[in-house]
Amino acid sequence: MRLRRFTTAILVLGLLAACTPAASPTPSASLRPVKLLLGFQPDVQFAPFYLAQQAGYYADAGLDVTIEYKSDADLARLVGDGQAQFGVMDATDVMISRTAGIPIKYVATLYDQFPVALILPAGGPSGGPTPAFLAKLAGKRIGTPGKYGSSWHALLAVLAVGGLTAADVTIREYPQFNQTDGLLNGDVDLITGFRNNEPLRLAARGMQVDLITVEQVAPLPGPGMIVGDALLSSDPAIVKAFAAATVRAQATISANPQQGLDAAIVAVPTIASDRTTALAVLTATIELWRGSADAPTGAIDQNIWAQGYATMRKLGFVDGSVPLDEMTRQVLTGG
Amino acid sequence: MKRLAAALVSLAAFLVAWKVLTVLTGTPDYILPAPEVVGARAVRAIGSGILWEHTAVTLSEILLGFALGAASAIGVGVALGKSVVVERVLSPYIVAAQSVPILALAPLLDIWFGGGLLARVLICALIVFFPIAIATMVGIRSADPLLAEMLRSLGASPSQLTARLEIPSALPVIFGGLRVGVTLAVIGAVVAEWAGASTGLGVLINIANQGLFDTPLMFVALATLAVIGISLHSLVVVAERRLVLR
Amino acid sequence: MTIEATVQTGGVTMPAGLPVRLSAVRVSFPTAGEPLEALRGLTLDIPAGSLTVVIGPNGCGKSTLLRVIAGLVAPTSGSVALDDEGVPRAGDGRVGLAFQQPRLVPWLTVLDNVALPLTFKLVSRLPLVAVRPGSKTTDVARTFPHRTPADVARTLAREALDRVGLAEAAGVRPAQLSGGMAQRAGLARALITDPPVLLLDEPFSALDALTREGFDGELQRLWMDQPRTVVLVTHSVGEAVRMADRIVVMTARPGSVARVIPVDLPRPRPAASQATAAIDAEVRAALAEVHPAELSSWTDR
Repeated sequence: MRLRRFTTAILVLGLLAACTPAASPTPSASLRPVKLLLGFQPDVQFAPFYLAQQAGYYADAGLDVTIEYKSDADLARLVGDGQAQFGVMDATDVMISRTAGIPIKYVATLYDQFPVALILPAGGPSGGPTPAFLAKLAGKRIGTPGKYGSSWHALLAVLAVGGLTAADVTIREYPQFNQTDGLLNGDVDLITGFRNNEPLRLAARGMQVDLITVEQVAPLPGPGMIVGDALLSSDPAIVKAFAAATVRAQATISANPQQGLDAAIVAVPTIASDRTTALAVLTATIELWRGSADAPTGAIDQNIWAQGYATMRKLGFVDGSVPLDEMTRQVLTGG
Repeated sequence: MKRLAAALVSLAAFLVAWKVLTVLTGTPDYILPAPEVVGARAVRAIGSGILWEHTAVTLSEILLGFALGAASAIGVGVALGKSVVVERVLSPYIVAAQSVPILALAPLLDIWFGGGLLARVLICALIVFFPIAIATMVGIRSADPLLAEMLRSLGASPSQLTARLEIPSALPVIFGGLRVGVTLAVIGAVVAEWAGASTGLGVLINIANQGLFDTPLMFVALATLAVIGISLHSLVVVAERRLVLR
Repeated sequence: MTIEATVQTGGVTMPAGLPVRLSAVRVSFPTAGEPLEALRGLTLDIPAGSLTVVIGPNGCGKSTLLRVIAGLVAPTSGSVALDDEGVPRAGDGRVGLAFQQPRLVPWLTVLDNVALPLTFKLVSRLPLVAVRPGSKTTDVARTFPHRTPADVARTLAREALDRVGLAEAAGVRPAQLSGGMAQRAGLARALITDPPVLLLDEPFSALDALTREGFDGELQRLWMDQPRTVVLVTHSVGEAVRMADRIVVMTARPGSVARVIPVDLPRPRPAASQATAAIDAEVRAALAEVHPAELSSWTDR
C-alpha cells in the first residue's frame, strides 16, 4: 500500500515536472505580456518577429509577445484603443488613419525601401519612369488588390507624375490578391505588387518583368512599427525595447537568412511547402529592410516622410489637418 | 399619422440610447462614433454626392435581385407545393444551395457571370430565393381542400385551381416570405459587391473602413442600408395590406 | 298537391330536371392498406323533377353517392347517367352542388362568390339563351347586349341572391355572414346555372332546428317554383319526412340501397300528423335494420 502511494506520488510529480514549460536559464521577474498585430495573414516576411519570439530577443527585452493577424483597418483601431500594444502598418495608412483621428504613432522603420512597385512584362517600352513615359500609361489596364492601401497610394502617386489620375486608366480589382493571374493571362497590362514577392512568383511561372519603383518618381516611406499614443506616453521604455529587439532580429536575419526562414517555418509550418521561393522572398525582403545601409537600423527618414506626406496631400488622401510631426516618433536613438 | 409619430419617437429614443452608450463606455469615434458624428459625416457625404453615387448602384442591385429572386421563387414554390414528387427531387439541391455560405460562393459566381451588374443581381437573387420559395410552397399547401373540391365541382382545371385558389390562399404566407426576402436582398447586394464590385454601399463600407479609416463614413453607409431595408419592407407591408384580405 | 313535373316550352313538353340512373355502381378508394369500398352494387333510379332524400347510417357512402352523381368521383365499376345525356362531368352546368359547410371563397364578396360558377363556364357576349331542359326561362331568350361576361355573371348572381333572400348581402364578405346566410349564399351559387339536377349534402345540419325547418320550407318553395331533380342527403328523419317524394335508405358501408320509401303526402306538410308519423316510423324501422346491431338498443322507436 505504501509503496503504491509512493509510486503514484512520484508519477504525478513527474508528470507535473514534464508539463511545466522549459524554464529560461535565468528565471527573473515575469515577462510583460503584450500583443503584436501583424497584417492579414502569416508570411515569411514576418520572420523577424518569429525569430525575436523564438530566440528570446523579446524575452530579453522583458516582453512576452503574442502575435495575431488582423486586417489593417482593425489593426490601427485596436492599437489606437490600447487593445493591442504593437502593430505593423504601411506608412501611408498611418498618415490617413492618424488624420482620421486614430491615436497611433509610427515609431520605427521596418522597410527602409517602399516595397510596392508597378510591375509590367519585361521587354515593353523602355525609358525609365520619366513623366513622359508615365504619361503613356493612359488607357492601360492596371490590376491592383483594391482602391485602398499602400499599393493604391503608390499607383496614384506614380500616375500623378505622368499627369494622370485613376480616371485616365482602367483599374481592375483583385480582392483575392491574385493580380498576378491577371497579368499572366493578359487581362491587365500592368499590376501593383510587392517587389520582394510578385516578381519572384511571376518568374516562377515563367514571366520576366520590369519594375517601376516609387523612389524613382514619388518617394513614400515604407512600413513600420506602430504603437498607441497612450502606451507611448505612459511607457516609452518598452516601446523602445520592443523596437530594438525587432531590429536586432532583422539584423540577425540579414546576416543569416536561413535562420529567419527556419524561425518562420516554426511559426508557420506551411511555409516549408516551398522553401525555395520562401527563401528567395526573404532574401529580397532583406534588401528592402536594409536599403542602402549595411544592416537595418529602424531609423525614421524624416525627409522621405515629408515628401510622402506632401504627395499624399496633393493626391487628396490627407487634408493636412494633422501635422506630420504628430504621426511619427523616433524611439531608437542613434539609429 | 399616428404610426409616423410612433416611429419618430422610437427613432429618437434609439439615438439617445446610442449616444448614452458611447458616453458611458467612452469608446472613441473611430471605434463607435456617436450619432451626431455620423450625422455630420452623412451631411458631408450627401453634399459631395458620393453617398448617392453608391446608393443608386446598390439600390438597383437590390430591386433587380429581389424581383428576379422573388419571381423565380414563387414559380418554383408553386411547383414544390403542388407536387410531392417535385419537392422530393428538388429540395435537396435547394437546401444545399441555402446551406453553403453565399459569402464563399459569391466570388466564384462573380467570375462565372462576368463580374458586372448581372453577376451581382444573380447573387442577390440567390440569397433572396430560399425563404420565398419555402413560404410559397407552404402557402400553396395550406389551401383549403374543401374549397378545392367545391371549385373542382364547378369544372376548375388544375391550373385554374392554382391561379384562383392556391395562390390567393397562399398570399399571406407568401408575403411573410417576401418581407424576409426584401431585407435579405439588401444583405445580398452587399455580399455581391464584396465579391468584386467597384461602386455600391458595400464597396463604400470597405473604402471607408480599409481605405479611409473613416468609421463615421462606414456608419453612414450602414445607416443608408438600414433605411433602404426599412423602406422596402414598408412597401411590402403596404402591398400586403392592399392585396391580401384581412 | 303534387308538382306538375313538366313545363310547357314552345309546345314541346319536357320534363323539369333530368333523371339520374345509377346501375350497380361500385366505388373503391385506394388507401395505404386495403382499398376502401364506399359503395357496392348501388342501383337507383331517380325520376326527373323529383325530390329524393337519401338517409343512412354514418359512413354509408351518402356523400360519395352525391359525388358520383356530380361527376367528381368516377365509379370503379357500374354506370351512372343523367338521362340519355350520359355520364355526368363536373362543371358542365347540369349538376348544382351545395355542401354542408357553405365553402365560400373568403376573399370574394358574396356576389362574386355566387357568380363564381359562371366565371368557369364563360358566358359569351352573344345573347344568352338558356336551353337546358327543365329551365323555366327556355321560352324567353335573354339578351345582355354590350355587356362584359363579368357583368352578365353579376346580374345573374344578383337575381340568384334575390331568390334566396340575400339581396342586401351582395357586397359583404363571407366572414361577416351568419351560418344561415352563408348556407343560403352557397345555395344561390348552386342554383345560378339553373341546373336540372341539384344535389345537397346535409346542407342545413349545421343550423339550429328552427332555422333548419325554415330552410327546408324555403328549399321546397324554390323547387316548386322552378322544378328540377333534387337529391338531398340528411341525417334527420324528420327532415326526410318533411321534404321527400321518395326516401332512399342506404345500408351500412359498403353502401347500397336498402329500401326506397315513397312519400305521397301533399305539400306543405304539417310538422306532425298521423301520416307523417307513420312514414317516420317506417323510416326508423328501415334504419334500425341497417344500423350496426350494438347501437340499436340506443335508438328510440
